[in-house]
Amino acid sequence: MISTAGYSRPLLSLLRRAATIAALVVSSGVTFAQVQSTVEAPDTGPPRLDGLTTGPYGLSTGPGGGLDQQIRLNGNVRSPGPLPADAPPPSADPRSFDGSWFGEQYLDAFEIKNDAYGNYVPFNEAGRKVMDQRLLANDSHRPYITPSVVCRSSGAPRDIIRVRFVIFQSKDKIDLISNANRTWWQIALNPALALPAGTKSYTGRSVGHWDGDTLVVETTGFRNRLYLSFRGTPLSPNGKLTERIRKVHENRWFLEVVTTVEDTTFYSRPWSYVRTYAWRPDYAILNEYNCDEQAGNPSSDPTAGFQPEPNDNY
Amino acid sequence: MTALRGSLPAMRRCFGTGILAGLLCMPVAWAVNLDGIWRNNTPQPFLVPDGSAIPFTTAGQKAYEDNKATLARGDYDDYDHVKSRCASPGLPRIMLTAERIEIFQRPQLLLMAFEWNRVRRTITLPGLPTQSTDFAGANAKLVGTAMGTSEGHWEGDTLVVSSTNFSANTLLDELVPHGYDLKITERIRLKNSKTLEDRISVEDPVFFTRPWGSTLTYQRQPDAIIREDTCLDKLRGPPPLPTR
Repeated sequence: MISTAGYSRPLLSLLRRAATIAALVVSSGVTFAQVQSTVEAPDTGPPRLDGLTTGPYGLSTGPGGGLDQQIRLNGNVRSPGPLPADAPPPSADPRSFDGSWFGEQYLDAFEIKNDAYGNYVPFNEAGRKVMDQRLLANDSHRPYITPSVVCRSSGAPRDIIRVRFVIFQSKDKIDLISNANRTWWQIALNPALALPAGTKSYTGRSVGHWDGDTLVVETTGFRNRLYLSFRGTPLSPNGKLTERIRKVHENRWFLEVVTTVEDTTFYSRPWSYVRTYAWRPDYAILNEYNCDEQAGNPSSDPTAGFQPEPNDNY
Repeated sequence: MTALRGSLPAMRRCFGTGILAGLLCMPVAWAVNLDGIWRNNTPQPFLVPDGSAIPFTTAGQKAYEDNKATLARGDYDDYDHVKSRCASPGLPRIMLTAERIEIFQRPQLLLMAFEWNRVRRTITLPGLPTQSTDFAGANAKLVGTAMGTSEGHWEGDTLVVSSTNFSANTLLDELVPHGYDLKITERIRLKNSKTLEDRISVEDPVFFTRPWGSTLTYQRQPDAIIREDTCLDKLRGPPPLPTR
């Protein structure tokens, strides 16, 4: 590691950014010209806390270096290879999502900077504060405890990013079972099966119906504040997610999920983001996720050194 | 056609003998449809061996007696991480659960999702497309897991499942030990449309002098959204996550 003793803070910042750019170029193959086009651009978005700005790849960066390190360390994650030759297509029925899929976003899923239309995410003051506090916690190398840290489900939006999951579907309900955190997202298509209104859980209470060939899922009843992205785009327990899911074929098969967030605690208006999930029949076997073995160890810190997030009522 | 609960793409049983063999074939999905929600008829913490007592080796008997003594002292974390940490019970212990099991059956794969702590096990069936390995998948074969690796095939109307590649850190039930050489063979069938039978055979030459078995039965339950169960919430209390 290069010693930084004696360098001024602005120069350190410049050197750090240069190192970040170089590492990103080496690891990802992105050209300097492409990276340069996003570096040092003035962040014309809403005011940010404590030195947070927009860095390379359009993601937040800060003075602590943790956010950049996060991208550096994760910048060379391999993409799944092509489908094997014997991979079958999904069901021809546009209303059948049965099978195995893979959350193909990566850096895009780290942080939601813009909504589906390219507008800034409409944080209100409380939402901006929560988001930026989460970013600063990462940036200062003292991240907050998330559900995953303590071996709880993070809920379906977070627990199907960059992991495999399988969908089992019947006329009365849909079960999505993820590789991550043993998340089991159950969607009642038959209202008689739905859990009682007011039920709270890590994954929420979901009821779905068909709108043509699009599945519309409404989820409420979260027991704690959610992470909609790795870096913590928040949803309060009072929030509601409406997900419009359809199966699409454009050169490949994928699920398109348009998520509309309604949460007056953290946002000034409803807003939407889009993610896609690739058809991967070669990812049908879920790995064992036995995090309780560590998180439940009575002899060790169950929070693994992460700090608790303030439960402030903003 | 969207897959309906309890229906499967056609599997066929053919009847007739001699020169008539195979002339009359009909879908057998109704006869071998394990899909649905099940609950153990007689939940219990211990496997009841079919016939005689568990045939321990000397080493197996000693390990078993050690576990009993540790249980009596209440030192759960020394031998039973299910009780002390909510770790996965593994196979076959999870099949003793008093809570519901939901089976999702497809032609090339069967997944059991357990109400208890949302654990799951996957049984691969013949014809599953080539599976690719990500980082976790490639390394999974190097390290045994609580649920092991399960491969199944149909013998008539019985699903025969062979499971190996186990971690040695689990118990067969609340007391009976095992090692890395454990092999579990299950013969799973419908006794009738509402009763599922799982005949379990246990082999581990380090701990048992011969294979031995136990039989479990389950009653079909109404279709439902399974309530979310988080063992650590009950064991340790709610986690330090913001609730606003």
